[in-house]
Amino acid sequence: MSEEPISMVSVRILERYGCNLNYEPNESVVLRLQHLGVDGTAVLPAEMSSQSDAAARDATERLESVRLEKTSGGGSAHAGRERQAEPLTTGARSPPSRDTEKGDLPATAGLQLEKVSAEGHSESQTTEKQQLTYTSPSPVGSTGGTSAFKRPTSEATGTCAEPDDGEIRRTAKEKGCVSVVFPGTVTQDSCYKFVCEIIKCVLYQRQQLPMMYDQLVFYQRRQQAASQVEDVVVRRPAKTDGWDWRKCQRTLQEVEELLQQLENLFSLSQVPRVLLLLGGTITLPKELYEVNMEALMAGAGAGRSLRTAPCLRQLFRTLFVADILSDARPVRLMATTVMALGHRDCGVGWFRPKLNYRVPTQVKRHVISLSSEPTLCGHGPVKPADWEDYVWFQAPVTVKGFCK
Amino acid sequence: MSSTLKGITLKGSAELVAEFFSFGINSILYQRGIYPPETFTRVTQYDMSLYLTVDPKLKTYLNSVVSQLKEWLFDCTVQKLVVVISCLETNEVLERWQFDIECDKSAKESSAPREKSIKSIQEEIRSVIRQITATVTFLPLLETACAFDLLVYTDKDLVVPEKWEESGPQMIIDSEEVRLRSFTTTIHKVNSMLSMCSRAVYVPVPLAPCPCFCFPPFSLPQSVLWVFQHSTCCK
Repeated sequence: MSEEPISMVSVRILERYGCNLNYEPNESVVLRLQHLGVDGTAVLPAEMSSQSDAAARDATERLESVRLEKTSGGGSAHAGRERQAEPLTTGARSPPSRDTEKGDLPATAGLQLEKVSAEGHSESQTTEKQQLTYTSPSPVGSTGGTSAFKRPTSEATGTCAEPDDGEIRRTAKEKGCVSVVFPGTVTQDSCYKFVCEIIKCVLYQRQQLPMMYDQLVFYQRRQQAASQVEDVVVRRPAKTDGWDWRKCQRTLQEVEELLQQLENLFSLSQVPRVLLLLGGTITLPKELYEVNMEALMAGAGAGRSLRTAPCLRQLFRTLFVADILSDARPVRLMATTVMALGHRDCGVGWFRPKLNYRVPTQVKRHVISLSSEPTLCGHGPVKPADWEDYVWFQAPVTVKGFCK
Repeated sequence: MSSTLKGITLKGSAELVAEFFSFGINSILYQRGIYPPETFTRVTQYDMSLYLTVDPKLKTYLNSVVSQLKEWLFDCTVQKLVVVISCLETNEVLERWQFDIECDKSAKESSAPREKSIKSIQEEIRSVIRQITATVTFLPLLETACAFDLLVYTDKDLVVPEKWEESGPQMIIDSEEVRLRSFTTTIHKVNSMLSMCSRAVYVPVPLAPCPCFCFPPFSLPQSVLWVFQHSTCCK
């Protein structure tokens, strides 16, 4: 296939000393390499693959409607209607979401609210149980649109108590603690999702998985689907593409089972603390991470709750900035055990109670502390809950890392 | 690669850094969904699974940039590389991945290799690329078709190569930044930073995979084109 010749289009020398060029104090110039399109006009590389982007946008909207049809029926019809209000259109400003139409609460710009049903379950639990939804909130009367990162402000004070990135990093390094304060209460389901995503993140960042968990699941399933297409039985080597797919499958099954059972535990009991123990034993691991939701749990269910997705983004941005998980040094493969604090009478079957278990103190513990800002929750400080009836439960399955 | 077992030379350092940019740029394009995922192939580099484009035009473009960059790195005349992601329709800059490059120019005078192993450099690079991948956990989804641009900040008195032109910095108005890790070869140091438009808007992402698993969970790169191509699977 003949390639387009790369040549420079007519030079556009911008005003050297005007506002278009930004010279750094050490006097630099900004250069770019252009690429010619089919008709000779300058085309950015991504445009070459997106010539049919208009058709793609139409198709995306068709896909959206197809997906709405597929998910309609039962509880998910509600989710379908919710999505329909926020189509995937380029540049389109999404209409106000259902939640905000019912009236804004203080400090909700940027974060959606979920209605909590009488049973205490959020809508996302009943209608979007397996999904993380990202709505496109455009509250009526908002000025600057919404932001993934701008914290909502309290109407009373007009300010947010949000540490800056340097402080987050310092606290994480000096005290081994990352604190995430959500501007409102969250549901039990959200708490489960926080733990679920933190587990996936830790496994990848601590080099126990060669790629992110969800990407691994996707590619493993594609591999399986591809092998099922073949009409004859094909004996393939265990290692393809440099990967041991048997180990991959085993690890994925372990993680999947762990996450499913955790979800069950969260449905039976409040889970104020979760431990991730990597390597060693449960009394002396090599690495120890704790997700502490005691303050979060204490305020759960009180009034309208925040949506999960923005909270997840806030959580992972803070974790990213704190940089407690990444390591330049190689981390060897280890077995990961999960311990969770649950009510002694919750009736969970899969997890094993460890009545005499104590959190190891000889290992440095990295704590991810999740809490709600009390002034933004619409009520005063919440009295700390009494966790005396709560015991540690150990997952019977350890997740064995694999790299390739 | 011009390096010894005991250390690294200027040429070796330039090659290592250029190689990082090649894989780093590919990772950004893959993770941010600028190109469909099936236009990437998985390779093993830095002891991890990374993605490289197989799109011939894109490969040619990236190879041109990286090879020129290698020369500038050797000459110690490059200061920054920036990957700009902008909305195709409005040209609004949505993300700016900025890699600041510091060069120890004394390495040009002395040919003695510096005492730092390639292995340790690659370990540092690995942590940076892992961070690039991890950004998908909190970056907003790019709802529109996007284009990318590569900007290189060089010394002002540099002779502009034939196929290059001067450009504006393509800054983001009202941006928010996060810093990534840095790595150093002791000759070149690369500091990474991500700026994103703080007016980011969420988009709903249906997560229930269709039976053929053609649609990924949320943490996979989101590409409008990719969605288009797989729409025919969902009957």
